[in-house]
Amino acid sequence: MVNVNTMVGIKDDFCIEELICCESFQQYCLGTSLADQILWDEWIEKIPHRKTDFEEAKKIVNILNVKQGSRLSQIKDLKEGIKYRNAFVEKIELGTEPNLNHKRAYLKYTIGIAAAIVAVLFLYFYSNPYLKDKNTPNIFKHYSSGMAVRRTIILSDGTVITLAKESSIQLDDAYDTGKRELWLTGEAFFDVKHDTAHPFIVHTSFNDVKVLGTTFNIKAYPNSKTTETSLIHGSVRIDSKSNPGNFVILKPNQKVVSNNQSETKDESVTKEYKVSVLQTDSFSKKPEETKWIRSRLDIDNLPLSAIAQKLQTWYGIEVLIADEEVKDYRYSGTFENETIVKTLEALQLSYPFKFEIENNKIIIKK
Amino acid sequence: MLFEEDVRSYWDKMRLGDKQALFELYNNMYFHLIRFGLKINADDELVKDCVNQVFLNLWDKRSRLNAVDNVKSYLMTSLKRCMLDQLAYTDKMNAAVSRMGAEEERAELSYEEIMIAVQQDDELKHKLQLAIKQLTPRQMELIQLKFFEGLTYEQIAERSSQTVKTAYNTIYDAIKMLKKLLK
Repeated sequence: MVNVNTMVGIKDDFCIEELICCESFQQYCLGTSLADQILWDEWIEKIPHRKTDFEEAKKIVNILNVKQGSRLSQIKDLKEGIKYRNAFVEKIELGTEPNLNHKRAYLKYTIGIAAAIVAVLFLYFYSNPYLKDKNTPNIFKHYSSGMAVRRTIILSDGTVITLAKESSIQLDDAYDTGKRELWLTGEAFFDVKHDTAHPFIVHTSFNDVKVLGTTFNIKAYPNSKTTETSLIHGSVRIDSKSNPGNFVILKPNQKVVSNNQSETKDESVTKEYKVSVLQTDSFSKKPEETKWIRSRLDIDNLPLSAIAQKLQTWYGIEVLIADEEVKDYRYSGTFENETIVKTLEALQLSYPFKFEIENNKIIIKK
Repeated sequence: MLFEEDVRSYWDKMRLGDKQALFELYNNMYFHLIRFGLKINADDELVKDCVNQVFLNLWDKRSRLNAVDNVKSYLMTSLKRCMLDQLAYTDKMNAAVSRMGAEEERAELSYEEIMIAVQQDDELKHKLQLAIKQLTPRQMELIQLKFFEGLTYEQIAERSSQTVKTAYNTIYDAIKMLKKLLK
């Protein structure tokens, strides 16, 4: 009998049963100590030919401990959650200087609620089984907005995506070669490059949204009861994941709200999806749904360098100017666009320049 | 008991804003709470989420918390309430709210039931069902003590009045059989 309490005695010619019965290995599977974790991870790295047997042993231990989970990774989530919550509370307290004392109580109450919502969201990100799926890890390109209010990503095909706060997308690894599919958590605005040969598909936890060249907004926060898709131009089709076969096709200026909790299989399309017309802001006549992304830019004889700075801040993407001469081009006018690319194109009309996308940076040239 | 004293002192430090004490409390309670939660509902993701939610809530209202005699049962009650809230929410969506009252009375799940319920793969569920039947009650009991309750071989030997070697061999043979049946 080998020493069952430690990994001592387990050699590289181990048999699977022996490994399963080893207490140190069992502790490793439950993530009870960092030392065990490092020891076993390093040990198996040195004998790669036994990796499959190692994984099988791990699998059986996890069946027998009925997926109690790894304490190490769970407490990591908790620590992140608390860090996150504190940062959020600080940010709110810095941003608002209560000038009246009686406002304080109310403010604290709001902080409590807001913080709770964010934390639940955060936990979900980590516990979302989809993101943990063995088939989906590092092979995808992942973009996340984190604490930034907006973050813009311009993909290789010219599609522009702006993420709202605390949202993320993962691209299919074959995106660049024509498999235009991605996974969204949170809220994002899409301006999809038209390409009939390669349909563009956005997966959320509850729906798949299929698109030909189009601009639209999806709100799919994992802890939310509903998923919202708002269409500005073009055409999209929303397919239900829980009820395969259920789908709706949207027309421009329509939105669909789907109920994420509907799990009953016989749910009818009309019960699962509610289609309505987009609500327009009475002042700007533009949809409320995309208000978070539209920047009203009032420019009165400003140099391009200053405009670039404003755009960079609003859309959350780096804007560089490569030619000194261009920096001093001056513009006037009012712009209100959903994507940075549209605004730049509008500026080009009055005083031409070129711009390119490189490594998700916009480079303005002469 | 030493464990309870430790836990109570972490609780008191945590109330004063000691974050490390919160984590120590978590480390001490994690597996107790997970096992307790799984017996109420064999959805491991739900249980894990709720355990972390309970601790996040503790940290949020730390300054308003009172001294507690039995921290473990306080946390178990919080976990149960959190899970029932979650379940009630889902149930409401499925228009089956009325079952909630009965939920409280329902007997807790057995280890074997949990083991099968947490698996998503139907084939594996089936194989597990068959495999469990092949094991002797004695083997099953020791497997539960070892892998579910997390006892050491020494503790198992003591509890079942046999030698450590016998306890180990019983489990080893059971594992050997399980591994073959799950292939």
